[in-house]
Amino acid sequence: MVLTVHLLYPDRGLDPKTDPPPGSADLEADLGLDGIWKAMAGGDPFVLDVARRVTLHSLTTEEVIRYRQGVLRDCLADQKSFEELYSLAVAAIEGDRRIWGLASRRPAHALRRATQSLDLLLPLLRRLRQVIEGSMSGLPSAGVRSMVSAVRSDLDDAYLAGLDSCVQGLHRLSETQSISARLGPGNQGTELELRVPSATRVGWAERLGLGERSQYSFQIAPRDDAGLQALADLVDRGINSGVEAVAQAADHVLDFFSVLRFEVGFYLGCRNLHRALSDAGTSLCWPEPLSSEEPGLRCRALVDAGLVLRAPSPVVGNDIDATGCRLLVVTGANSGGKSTFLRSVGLAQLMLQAGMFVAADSFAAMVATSVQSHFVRGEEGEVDTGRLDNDLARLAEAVGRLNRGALLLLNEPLSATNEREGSEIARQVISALLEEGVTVILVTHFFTLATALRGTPTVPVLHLIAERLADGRRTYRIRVGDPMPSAFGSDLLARFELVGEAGRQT
Amino acid sequence: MLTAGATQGSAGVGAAARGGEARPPALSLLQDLSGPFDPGHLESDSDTLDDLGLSQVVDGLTKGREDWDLRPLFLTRATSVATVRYRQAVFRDLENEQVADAMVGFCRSMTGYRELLGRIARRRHAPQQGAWFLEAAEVYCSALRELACQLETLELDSAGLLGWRDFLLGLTTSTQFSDLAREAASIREQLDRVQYLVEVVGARVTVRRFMGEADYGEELRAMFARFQQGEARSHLFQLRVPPALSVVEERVLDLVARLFPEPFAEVQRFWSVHRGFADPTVLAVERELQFYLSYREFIEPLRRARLEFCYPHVETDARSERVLGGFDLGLAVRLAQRGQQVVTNDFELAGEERLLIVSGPNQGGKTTLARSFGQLHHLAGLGCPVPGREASLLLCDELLTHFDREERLEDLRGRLEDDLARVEEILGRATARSVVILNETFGSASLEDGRRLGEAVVERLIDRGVLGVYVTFIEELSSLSPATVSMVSQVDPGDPALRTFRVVRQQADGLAYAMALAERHGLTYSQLKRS
Repeated sequence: MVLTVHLLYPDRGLDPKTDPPPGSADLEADLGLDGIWKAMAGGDPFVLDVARRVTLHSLTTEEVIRYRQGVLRDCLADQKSFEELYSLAVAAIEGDRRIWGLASRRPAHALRRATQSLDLLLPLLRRLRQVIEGSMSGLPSAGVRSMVSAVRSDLDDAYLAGLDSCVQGLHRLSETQSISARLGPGNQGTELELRVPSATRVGWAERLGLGERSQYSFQIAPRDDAGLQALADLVDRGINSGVEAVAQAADHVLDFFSVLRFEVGFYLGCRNLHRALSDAGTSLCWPEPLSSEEPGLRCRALVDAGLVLRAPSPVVGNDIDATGCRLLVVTGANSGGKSTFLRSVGLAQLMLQAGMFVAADSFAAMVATSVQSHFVRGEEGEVDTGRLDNDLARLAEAVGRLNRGALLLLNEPLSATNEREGSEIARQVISALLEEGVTVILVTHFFTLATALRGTPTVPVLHLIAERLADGRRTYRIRVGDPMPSAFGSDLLARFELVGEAGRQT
Repeated sequence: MLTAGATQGSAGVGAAARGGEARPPALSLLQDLSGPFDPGHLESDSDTLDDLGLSQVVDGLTKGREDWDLRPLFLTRATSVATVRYRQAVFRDLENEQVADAMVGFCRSMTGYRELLGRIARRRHAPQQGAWFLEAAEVYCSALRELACQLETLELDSAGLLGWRDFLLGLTTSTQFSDLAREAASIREQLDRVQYLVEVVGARVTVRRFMGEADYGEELRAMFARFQQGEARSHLFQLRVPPALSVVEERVLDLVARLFPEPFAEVQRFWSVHRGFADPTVLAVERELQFYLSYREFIEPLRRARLEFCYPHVETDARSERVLGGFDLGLAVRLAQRGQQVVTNDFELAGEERLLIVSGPNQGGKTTLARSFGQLHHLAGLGCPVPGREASLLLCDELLTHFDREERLEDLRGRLEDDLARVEEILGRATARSVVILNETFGSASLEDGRRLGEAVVERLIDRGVLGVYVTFIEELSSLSPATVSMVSQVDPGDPALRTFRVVRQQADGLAYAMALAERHGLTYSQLKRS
């Protein structure tokens, strides 16, 4: 049995070397994930990397989401124990790094170094056991409980004592080596293996010169440098595979600590973010994952956590009930909070699917098989064939990454072309995606597109608009409402047209 | 090092073999030993080899095969057509990949065998030498058995390889051979059972019989297995295992021999009984196979580059010659390495024609054509496939060359004297069966002197009845007699600066190049008329 830490998934770990899933770069840029990760890192670059990898690898089952929520609750309740686990892991990894330093060139050196590593790691394992036996042992989550019981059974007192004597044996290995061999080509010793020295010694009969000799010896003269060097070379070859086992033993213990650091690091990152958002006065909730048969989302006072971290002023929250909807179309005033709303939904969705809390009074959403985003880049309203080409290429990529049950966040798609063409292309894309079982949240200023999608009979649609008061002031709130042709903000529209004309004249 | 050792080693075995009974090889792959002996003609003139670019070719052919001393084989042309055909047949059999692979495998094993004998000669330490000897016997036996077994199922046509197969079948089924193989196997089994333990405490080394002591690494792996999170990383050091035992290893081995006296005594007995076990015919044929395989290997990249080779039709009294798609072998190898195109040329001497007079722009392939002509005759004489798609050639007695080289002598008068002396020598040696190649001879003479000397030489060559090539800038030589054929190196008509390396049968007019240049500048008649 392997001693494992399964705080992220009930049955596995997350390979820290696997690349983030495709589309991650778009999500990062579109949702402003960087700011979230920085807040999670709290200045620790390792945690920054952990935060990035874990949040991008979205969970796709309700069960694992609840598993992580449980561990995170425990972490928030017993922060000290989690911090201690993390610093044990750091002590192991940093301490070992200092020992290894330069690469060894001989097995004999490697043996000394690996022995030193194990000297360092063994007390840390004992300390780990103590932490587990402390307040952690009372925590309720399945993740923490499984870790506690694994450490208890795999690092029991008898085993720890066994490790101690094993490492003492390693110290003796630098003085005495027993190497077995067979005869190879030219009768050169081959298949050299390091052996556990046996206690058998020469019997009395042989010592008296009776019976067959069972051993012969020779001594290399102290000044015979060539002889001593040749002996050292022979010993190096003889202990090579044995030393590999020692070095791998140290590796294994260290790998265990690395996994521990990674997994605990994620929860400490969540703790940091929790602290930062709470300090900013944001209300946080445990989001509710909905089954895939129940699409859509509903939320109360949902805010963009990234915006909260950036902006000191109070941020407007949105209440939406789109339960059962497979298409959300947000239209309305420019700079009216449409993009912020889309970002807040995307971020909440990712945080939900990472097993984290969400910046809202309440949030419930279906668990998507994958989350993809396609946000307009560059200046809105600027028409240019190069940009359209680029935009279409990116959209095609994002669409290629979608499967049934996925969630696509679209922000002003096809705005690099005129409304008529852009609307038609976008309508065709979105209709096809809906039929393929994808859920779409669309922000667009194309009235043509929004109205075309009103008639989509196949799936439940919810139309939202960015609120604008009668006097033209924006509230930055999103509410249910049908698209209106005048919603663009005639002042802005006029300015764009002027620019367009000026452009044509020159 | 290797060369010296292996030579010593094979000499040792040879001497040992002769110690028993002096047996000459029963078979040769280079000529039919049942027919009249072909002494061959050794091309020893290093100037000729350099002139024809053959020095480099032979260097390439023998590179990495120094142990077999193949150089004389590549320098000796057969004197009889029968010998050439005998070798061509062997080359044809080797075109079958399976046959070639079998021979390559055999030669590789025999190289290992030679290397082992070299070790015995290098290091005088009986427990090691005995082991090398035993291994050499094992390698020898298995190489012969494997080859015999492979050849049994392959279709062979050449008398040479058929004879080799019969010889092998006889040898490998002899009692002497089976005894050798069986004894070697039984001793190997005893040695394989030896297992010992070396205990090192500081500078003290103790050697004991191995008593099943537990594997340290295994125990440690079991102890730490529970921490393993994924694939274990390798920490094995790539330690150089010295080719020879160190002083310490030798002392350990001596003690192992005392702990296990029986197998070590068996090895020594085997060594003294079977000293010089290798059959002299096997060793001779192995060398001859190296000749065939090295040539095959050498032209392999050219064949892959779609250059054709053919088996020339040769006669000792041929009065006409014809080659299609010939090329300079050495140049082709260099071009193929760089992935460049190789230009081939055709030439023919028919009826009364005896001499190709080659003229035309410099750097246009004239020297290459002359070289290629000489190489074809040499390679055909070796019995090798030659560069070209079709060839019928004279199997010449002498291959006489004179290439003008500016570095020969600074002094023009000295150079001319030198040229004259060499031409005198050539005319003295040339017979109606000789091939003569002259390249810009008398280049240091004045035009008029050069023309007179050239005409005299060409006339004498025609009288003598030799076949040959005369490269010259003196165009008059090309129309001297019906025995001369004019060939001119070509330039690209569109871009005269581009060399085509094509040399074709054409009346020398000295204008093609100039005309092409003019055309490029719009100065031809028709161009000027039109404008």
